[in-house]
Amino acid sequence: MRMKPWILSLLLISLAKGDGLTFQNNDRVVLLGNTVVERAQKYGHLETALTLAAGEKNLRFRNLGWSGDTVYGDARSYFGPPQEGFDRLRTDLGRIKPNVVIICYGAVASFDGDDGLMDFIKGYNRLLDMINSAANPRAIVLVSPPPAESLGSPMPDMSKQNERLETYRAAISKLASIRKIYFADLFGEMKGSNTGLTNNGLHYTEKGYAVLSSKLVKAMGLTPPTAKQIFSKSGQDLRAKIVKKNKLFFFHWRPANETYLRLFRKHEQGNNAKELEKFIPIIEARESEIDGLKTATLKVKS
Amino acid sequence: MISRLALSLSLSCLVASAQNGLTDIPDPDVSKQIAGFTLPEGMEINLFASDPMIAKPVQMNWDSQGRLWLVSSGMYPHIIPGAEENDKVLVLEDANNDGVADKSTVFADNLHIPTGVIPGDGGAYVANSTEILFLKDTNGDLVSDERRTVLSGFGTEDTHHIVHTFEHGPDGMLYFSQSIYIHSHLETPHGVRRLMGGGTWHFRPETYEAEVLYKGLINPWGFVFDDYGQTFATDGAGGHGINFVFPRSVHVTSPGAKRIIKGLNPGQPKLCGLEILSGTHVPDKMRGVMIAPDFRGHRINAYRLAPNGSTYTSTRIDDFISSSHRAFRPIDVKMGPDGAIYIADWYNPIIQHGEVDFRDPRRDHTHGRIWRVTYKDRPLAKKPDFQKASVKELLDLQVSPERFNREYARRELRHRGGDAVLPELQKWALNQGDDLAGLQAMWTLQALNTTNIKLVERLASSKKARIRAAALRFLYHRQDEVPSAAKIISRSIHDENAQVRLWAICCLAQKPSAQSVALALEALDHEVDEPLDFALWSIVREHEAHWVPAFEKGEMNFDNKLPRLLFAIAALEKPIALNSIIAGLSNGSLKGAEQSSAISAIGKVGTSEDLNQLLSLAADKKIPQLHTLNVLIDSKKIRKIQPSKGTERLLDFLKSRDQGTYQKTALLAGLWRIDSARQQLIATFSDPNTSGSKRQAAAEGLRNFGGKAAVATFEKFARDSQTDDIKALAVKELANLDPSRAAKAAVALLAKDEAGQDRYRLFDVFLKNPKASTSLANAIKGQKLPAKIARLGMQRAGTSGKPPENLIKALQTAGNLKPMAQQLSKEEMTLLVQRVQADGDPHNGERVYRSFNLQCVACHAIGGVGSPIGPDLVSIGSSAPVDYLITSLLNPNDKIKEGYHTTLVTTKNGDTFTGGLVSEGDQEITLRDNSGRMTKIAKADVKSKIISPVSMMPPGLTASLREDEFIDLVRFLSELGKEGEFKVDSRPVIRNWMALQPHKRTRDDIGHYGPKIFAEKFEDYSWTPVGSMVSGALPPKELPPVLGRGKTRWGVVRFGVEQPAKGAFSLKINESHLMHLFDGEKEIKLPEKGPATVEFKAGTDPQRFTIAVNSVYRSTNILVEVVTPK
Repeated sequence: MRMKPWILSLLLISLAKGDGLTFQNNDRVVLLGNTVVERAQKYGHLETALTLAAGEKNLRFRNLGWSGDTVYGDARSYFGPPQEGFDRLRTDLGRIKPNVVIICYGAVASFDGDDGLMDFIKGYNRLLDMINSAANPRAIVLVSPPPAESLGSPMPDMSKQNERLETYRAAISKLASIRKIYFADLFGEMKGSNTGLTNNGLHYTEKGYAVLSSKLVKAMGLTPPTAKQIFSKSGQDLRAKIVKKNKLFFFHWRPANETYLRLFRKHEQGNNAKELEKFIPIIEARESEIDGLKTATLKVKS
Repeated sequence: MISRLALSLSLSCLVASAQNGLTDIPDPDVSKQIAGFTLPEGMEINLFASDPMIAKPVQMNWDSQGRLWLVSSGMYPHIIPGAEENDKVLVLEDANNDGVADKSTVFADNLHIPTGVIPGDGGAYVANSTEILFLKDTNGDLVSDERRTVLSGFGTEDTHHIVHTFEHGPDGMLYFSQSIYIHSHLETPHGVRRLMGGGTWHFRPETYEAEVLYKGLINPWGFVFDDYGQTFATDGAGGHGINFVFPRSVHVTSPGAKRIIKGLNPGQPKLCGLEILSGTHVPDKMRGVMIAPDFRGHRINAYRLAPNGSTYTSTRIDDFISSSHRAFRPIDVKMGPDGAIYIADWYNPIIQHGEVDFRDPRRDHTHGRIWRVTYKDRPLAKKPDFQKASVKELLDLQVSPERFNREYARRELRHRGGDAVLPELQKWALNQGDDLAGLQAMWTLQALNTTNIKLVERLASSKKARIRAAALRFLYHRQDEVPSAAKIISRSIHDENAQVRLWAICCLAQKPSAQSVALALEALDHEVDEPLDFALWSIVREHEAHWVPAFEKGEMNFDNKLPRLLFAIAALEKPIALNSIIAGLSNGSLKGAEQSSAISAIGKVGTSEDLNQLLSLAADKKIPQLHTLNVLIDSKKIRKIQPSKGTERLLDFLKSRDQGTYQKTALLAGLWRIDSARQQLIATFSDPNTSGSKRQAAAEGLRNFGGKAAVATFEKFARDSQTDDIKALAVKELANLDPSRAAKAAVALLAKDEAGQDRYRLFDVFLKNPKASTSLANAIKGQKLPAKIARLGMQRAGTSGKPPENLIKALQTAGNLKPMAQQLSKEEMTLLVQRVQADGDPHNGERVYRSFNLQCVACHAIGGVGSPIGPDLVSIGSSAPVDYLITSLLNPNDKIKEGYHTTLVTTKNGDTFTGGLVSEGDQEITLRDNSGRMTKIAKADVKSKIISPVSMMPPGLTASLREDEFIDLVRFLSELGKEGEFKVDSRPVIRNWMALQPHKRTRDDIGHYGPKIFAEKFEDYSWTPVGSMVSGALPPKELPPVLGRGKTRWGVVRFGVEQPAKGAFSLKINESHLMHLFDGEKEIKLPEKGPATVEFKAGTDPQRFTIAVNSVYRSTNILVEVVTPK
């Protein structure tokens, strides 16, 4: 298929939707994507930056990132076909009912280059339709996947992959403008950054996430927190608390032993699934602590 | 009856001590555990480390400073809400070399059910839930202060399946495995890699390449490289002993697998961990032996392997070690730096959490032991200090007789890095005249991510086949770096050694092209064993997109060799160049196995024109008729395709005297709706003199016609026939076609069924779909049925994928029965457990187990003896608590072993099929039901396919037992695998026999000729399989009595002996009283009484020997041991 011509003529604007994204108090924000999104929960930088960028408004984050995932939900299915993973995501979104969904897909698909692009956009449209019908969020932000790093031999040279990522970035941007939703050009923001932010060319280190998070907040048209805020005592406590809360949510949402708790062996051990609900009050307690730490951090003068 | 049993228990007055039965846990005192070991002569065992120094070890590995690293999980099986993640990596040191750890350091303590650890690259790799972490200590206090995620995206669908079994390959890569329920999605800079189900990965840390080595196995918890770099795996839920695994091999339960490779020891215990005994401390005769913990059976099994073609034969020998302590759970075993053998003991009365509740109070979370095994009078190996050694010293260690030293010197060299090591290493490598040393050099270079082309070329032309195979394994990973690789590979396809040929195919599979396939198939010029056949089959399918277009364009033609083309077509199952295959059949150039493969291939992919030709060839007797008929039946059933014309040619086949040919012809006549055959079939069906099997065939043929005419035919005979057999069959067939019309007549038949005819199988017909079962339920309402029949009906209904409640209820009422599934109250259960422990007689329990009515042996095996349909029970007693056994018997759906779930397929017309999934191809799904019958279902007909929560084991099987019998049965099961009489050992005794059924030879004949008559070939003899008891003995009373003259009753069995191709062996017979032994038809004179040993020359006829005993007067069991010279 031929996609190149329109890509050349396309102007990449970071916000395909005219007005800037604003958060409202108690917005439920879902982060959705593959490894880059999944691992963000381990370090907390991204949520910390967004939490502070929202100012006085309290946000509730649910990271639904999943390693190896695609717009088709390839990594989310367990024993069935990808459709099962897609349906699982629909159920998750229906339960969480996010007001804002921030999505970063394309890093996996882009390895297929031009051959995979049409399928990717088709799948992305299908995913967006599903999100609208399952949760009808106020805002959706499409994020272009960040560039890959070439770390020198024997690690692979990723320049070809970056060309492919550029193609996908353009396609995602176009998709956002057609659908009149937000586009955050993380690829553009990260391009030209120092290397050494990733372990393997694709996935960010703890330090790398600090850089990525601030760039992503900027790409979304928001103001990232200052270094002083981030490194303040309350800023560090805030991030640590977010990481803890994320773990609790992970144990609740994507528990081990699902085969026994919810799937085809639930007749044996499904009685233990009731334990999963016990995480909810603990998560909520952490979240109100997060609100407090955020307020304290915002008071740190830049 | 259980209902009675439960009642009487609840009324009993033992309630006072009720809880003891469920909290009976073994004494954790170390001396108790030591006293429980059984050790071979010359072996000693000591405690290397124990709780509280360590707890719950999951995996262990050494570092190059001789410290033992282990992961420890008290959190297993599931995090408690609100609890912190607090599982650990521990490092144990034995600084004073006294064989006891004197220091334990917590390297990391905030992990989440870590299942693997291996030190390397200056830190340690740790399996942690969805991730593999790299933990590093940067300031020398042996506490991790840096944490990096190396890989993420591992599934956690089951916490004893998550990524585990970390090993370093000699190639410097990290190997790890995952189990059956895990679905992993790893993003790497080389693209995303996914693995569904079990399998093993390899990962190169410096390039982040992660690839799948092989797929399948249920719980591949053991993995090892041998001295030549070949790989082997054990399975903690399989039962094939040692598995030979190689790139792209596919093993049991890999999702979507159309074909699998079996392990080397079918019917073995389930194993966790695997190690090869090596080094100077181990006695000479044990060196090279593979040992693997049977954690259910509290012991470590041992196997001796010998190369055989491209693979190996593996023989189980005496256990390495065993214990009677019920919490001894060996789950990992490793050779140590001092040449001793170290065993990680998970220490738990409960082994896992699939069947036993996550929060069962008996589950141990705090104990754990590391045992150390040494040999008296044999010096320990010297522990080198790898860290302090110079590069030269490390290189010298590469040829050490201690395998440990070779491996850890290599790891140290890898850690020091290319700049420090390569100059000396390269020089050293080329100076090694000995090929085994050269092999070490090649691996160490590979571990440093480097290739020495000359060295690889030299090893690839070594005189030793196993060295050549190892060189090809190197090329499998790095052929792009060796310019002569293509030449080496194409030469190796014709290597005289089958394993070298296998590796050449593996190398070709890495390079998708038409040429690769063409070259690989040249291997067909030589002998092809199972792994070779599999590898060829696999490359043909994997590279389809490359070779098929090239072949169609005429760019390749497999050198015009028909067998190669035929292999490719049969493997791919696509219609390519079928004309040349048909020509090969008609001119007779394809013979034997090739001929039948060609017929099958055409049946699977041919057009109706091609089938037309097949039919003609069969009619002209140019190809075997029976096989062709089978193939044509499948084409019709699976692909809905039949010959384009002249189907009447089939009528000739109806004249066949061969029963099979007649049967298949009748079937096909119906499927093809050959009207002119219909009257013939009706005549045969309704002739009272027709034999049973022929009538059955005619009936099935008529049913296949379908439609109103068929319904009318059967309705008529169901109503009017005066012959019982005809009437019954007509009802059954009518039920198949139109269940509502047959229901009433079926109930009438069932109500009369007292004499043990198998009419209860009528139920199966009605269980095919909900409409049918409803019509039967309605017809039963208000009727009475014999209790036995009603119970059988309930059992059949209970195992169908969607048990029909209405029918079950109707049967219950009609037979005046209690519900099948029984739920015992806690008190009842406790009492029952106590009764089992106090009163149960396991010997009588074994008799109950083996009794025909209970049907246990129809589905289960013990140590491979019995049927493969259900789980092998070889160590069920040592792995499952007694209450679990009771629940499993009373309500089979409560607990279903992984790998034994039932698949439920619903077809578009509403029919349901249930059974274990045997294979799933592009065109059909194959299921095996609980009677062992295989059913193929056309994919085109399938509406849905799901994993069913219903066990294949019928509920209520034990309902006919008396209370004491039930208790004995449970006691027997609870003893299986425990130290004692009910542990299957490795003695080579005959366990599988064929027993002679009563037959048509007259009693006078038998009296006249004597037992010699049983050793003759006589076609009316019918032999059915029978297994030995756990002890290996066969009770004469259990053999079908063959009537002799007067009161004489004969018990007759046949057996063969698996032997190496050459040499002699002896049969050692326990007692020759009233026994006759025949080798072929020749009687071997045995003493009047007492034991006997007879020597024989080798031979592999599985029916070679016949034993006849007078089963009235001989009560001593039959026990035959095979003795092979050492």
